Amino acid sequence: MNSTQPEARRPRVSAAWGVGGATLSAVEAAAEIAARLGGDLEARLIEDANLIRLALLPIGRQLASHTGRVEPLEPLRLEAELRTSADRARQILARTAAGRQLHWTFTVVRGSIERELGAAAGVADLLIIGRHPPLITLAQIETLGCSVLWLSEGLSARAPVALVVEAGDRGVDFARQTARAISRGVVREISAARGIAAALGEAAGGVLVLSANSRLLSGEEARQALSRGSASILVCRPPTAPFPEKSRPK
Amino acid sequence: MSPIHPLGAEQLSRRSDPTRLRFETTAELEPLDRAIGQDRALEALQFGVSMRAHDFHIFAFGAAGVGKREAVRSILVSRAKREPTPPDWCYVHNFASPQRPRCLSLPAGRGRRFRDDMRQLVEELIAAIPAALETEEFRTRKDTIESEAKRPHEDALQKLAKDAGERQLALIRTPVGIALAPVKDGEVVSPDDFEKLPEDDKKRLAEAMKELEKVLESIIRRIPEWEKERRSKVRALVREVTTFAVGHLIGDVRARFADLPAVVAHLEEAERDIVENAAELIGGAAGGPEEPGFAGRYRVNLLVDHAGTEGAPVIYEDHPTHRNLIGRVEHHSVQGALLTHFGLLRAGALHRASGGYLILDAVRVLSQPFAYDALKRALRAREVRIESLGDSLGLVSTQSLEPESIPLSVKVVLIGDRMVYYLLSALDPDFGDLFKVGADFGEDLEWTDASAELYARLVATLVRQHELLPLERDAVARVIEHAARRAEHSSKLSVDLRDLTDLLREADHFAKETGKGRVDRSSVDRALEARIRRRDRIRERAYELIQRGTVLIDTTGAKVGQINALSVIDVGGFAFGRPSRITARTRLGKGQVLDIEREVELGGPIHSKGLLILQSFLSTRYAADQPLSLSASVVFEQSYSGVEGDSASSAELYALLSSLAEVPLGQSIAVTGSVSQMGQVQAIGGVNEKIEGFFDVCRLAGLTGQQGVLIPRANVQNLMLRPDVVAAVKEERFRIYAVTTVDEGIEVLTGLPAGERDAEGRFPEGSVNHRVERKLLHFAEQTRRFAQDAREGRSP
Repeated sequence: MNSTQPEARRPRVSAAWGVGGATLSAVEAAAEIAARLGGDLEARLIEDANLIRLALLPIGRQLASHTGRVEPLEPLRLEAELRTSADRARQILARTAAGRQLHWTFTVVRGSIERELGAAAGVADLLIIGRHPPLITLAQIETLGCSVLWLSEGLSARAPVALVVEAGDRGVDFARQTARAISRGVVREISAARGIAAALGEAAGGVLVLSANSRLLSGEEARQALSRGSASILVCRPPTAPFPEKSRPK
Repeated sequence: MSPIHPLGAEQLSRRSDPTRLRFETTAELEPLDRAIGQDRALEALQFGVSMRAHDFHIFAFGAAGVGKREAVRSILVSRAKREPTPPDWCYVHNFASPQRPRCLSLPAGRGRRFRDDMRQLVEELIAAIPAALETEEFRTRKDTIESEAKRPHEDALQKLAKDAGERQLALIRTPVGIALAPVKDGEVVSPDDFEKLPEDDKKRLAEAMKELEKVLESIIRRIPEWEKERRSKVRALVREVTTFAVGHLIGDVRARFADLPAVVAHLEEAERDIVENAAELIGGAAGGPEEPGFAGRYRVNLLVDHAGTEGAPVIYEDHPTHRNLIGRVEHHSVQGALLTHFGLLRAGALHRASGGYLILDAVRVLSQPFAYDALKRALRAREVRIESLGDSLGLVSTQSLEPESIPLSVKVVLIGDRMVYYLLSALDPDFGDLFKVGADFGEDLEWTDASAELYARLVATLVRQHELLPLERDAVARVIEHAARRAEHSSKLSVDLRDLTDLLREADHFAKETGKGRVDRSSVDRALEARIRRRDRIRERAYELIQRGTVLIDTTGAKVGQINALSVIDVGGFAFGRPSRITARTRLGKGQVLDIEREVELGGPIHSKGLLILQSFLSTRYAADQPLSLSASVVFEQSYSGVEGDSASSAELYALLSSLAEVPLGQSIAVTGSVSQMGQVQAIGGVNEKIEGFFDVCRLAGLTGQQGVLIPRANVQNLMLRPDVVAAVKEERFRIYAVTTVDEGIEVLTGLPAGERDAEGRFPEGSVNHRVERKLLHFAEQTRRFAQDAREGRSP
């Protein structure tokens, strides 16, 4: 082993999501990707403190998606629904992990979403965040200190993976390594020069892998385009130590 | 009247002269290509099969074993070879009405190809459709649709969030929906801070929330509409891609069947269905024949496959049940429920025979519940509809099908015995409408030199068919004699092929057992003797009872009012004759002949008829102008079972005459024959067995040379007696008399003249008839006297 190189270790993967929307499918996809990377998964369900506070207000109401009707937001009922969401997420995680020999932990945290995401990012090489409902914007993702996979709904096992490559980007090697790790098929490399639309087209239904330094992430217009696309976005930031070769999926 | 002489030995059995057979063994003979002695039946069959009318079906009838089935099959096969092979029939899914599977007709042999092509097509579709739906091009377009579909929703929520922000409100996701919350510095206002707000601010916030909730509500309410639009667009895309993917696969199959419009139409329907149901098709397993999955609906159930058929089919259905005739709907069990689909439709014999010929055993059809009705219905309608018997009777309520009926063009040949044919003709009005051709198979043919040659060829044919040793000429002659005996006629030969085949096989066995390379006469004799030996235990027992005196039969001496009659007992296909003692007693009475058998209900109607006839004979011959003042009783002694037939009526009459005339009858002569009112002795059946039966009893008691049998002259032609009986007659140790009238018979039995009326109408003194008439006149006189005494008040 080269003493100048940091020691290889298992990648630390965190997954965080809020309540409601398509969170359960995101849990499943996160476990799948963590397994592919050969990492350990730390999953956390963030219960938005704002939601708890709203329930305590006399004017606290919600519009239920399944009925389209406005109803009072009752604290006790909310607590029960939150517990149900957590139980379901845990069951899905356990089931998905069992078939893939994945080491995992599951935590429910209550607080500010930004703060909790920051905490998760602080201990992870890769943070997986569900896009639906959005917990965070792309601009906020860039501020987190680790690689972030902004996960769309319905990521299938055979989804295409497109890697945006641009000259001089020092993070592209790590992005390539990560793209190969999460992909079971071919990773299609495309030049950043082809633009954001072409990149999204190649990754349609799959994952678009970008180095955190990519110029496609710069500017509001580019962020808008990426936010509107259906692909999952993986923003790669090299970790302090490389992932071991053996941790790559076979 | 001239004396009655016994028949000569040459009249008792016809021998087959081997020297007239022009071969050494049957190996030299050409086999027969058609049934012998069945010209009438064969002509009828030829007519029936050549009549193309739909209602000219055939009933081939005749005794068992005469070769009906072989003859029918031979004619049908021969004709069918020259006829076109009918089409194959398939059942396919009915996309418009799944409960009514459609039938398709394809030229012979192409049904199998169609079935295999569709099976392969399904396998290819299951691979090709997912492949088409996983291309990047498809996914790109689908994702574009998905993301465009979400945009209105997301844009609306974004705008709402912006509007809310301007009014110090924020959108917050809850576990079951979305909420609006008052915020301050990016956080929801705490309850304490909210309480501290001025009432106006609280009211303003509440109104703003209510207003924005209405907007949010309208957004959420539109989500299903946007979803519907999205699904519709995705479906259209899937349809477009699937159409492209399956088009060329189905196109290949369509091209191969382009000349068959019905098949092409089905393929077009299948293509539309595949495109509409691509998700179900690739989601469901291909399945097997029992559980075909969704893909099973595109498969083909090849109901009738004529790929290997040359010419028209000739089908013999050995077990003609309702389902075996018209087909059946099978079910498979899924979690206790019985389900079915068109792939579980099974052909019946009518399907397989359509376009050709169907041979059925009439009794078997009639004995199977509803089979005959189903057969007639199909023939009348000229179509076969597969229908479960349970369904048609409403006995079961499982899922079932109503498959389209298949056109039927078939010639049905029912085979049965005469009784069945005549009963159906008489009792079933439909029968005559459908089975217009009767092929009547005879049981025998004339015995001539030419027919003997043919018979020898028939023997040769059977020998070859069954791979037996060839028969020598002598052996064939013996077989021919046996055939005449079977026919019970010295100038006819039985065509009971079953019996003949069995005899040949048994003779072959004995020939091989003795190491012979050919079947000789002794092997045939041994086979016949062994056959009798195997079956004659009952006969032996019956004769033993007579020999031991348990059953009283006199074979010597003479008795008044007592005579030996002869009857035939048929047990398990073996018939033998047995003498029975009949006695008659007469006295003054009211003109009645009492049939004791009838009184105790042991006499059958024909037997009773015989008694009434002889009563009429007595009254008209002897008491035409005066009352028959007779009371007579006639009985079969030691008879404990039913008596039927009139073959003993002449014996009963002789016993009565003997009793009236008080003339003893010779007990050494047994009698058989029925009698007419005019005193004629008429032919009976089983004459050979009867003679042989009495011969055997006499032989056991000791042949005296006086013993014999009195038979109707009309039965002389039926004589084919055993060689030992013929030899005994030749050596004058046994006699056979043939008579035409009762008078001839009574002379043989009494040794007295019967007597004929002279010019004055009187019988000669001392004749039997004179004695009978005198006795009857005496009875009449006595009756008159009693009547007069009664009128005058005197006691008798």
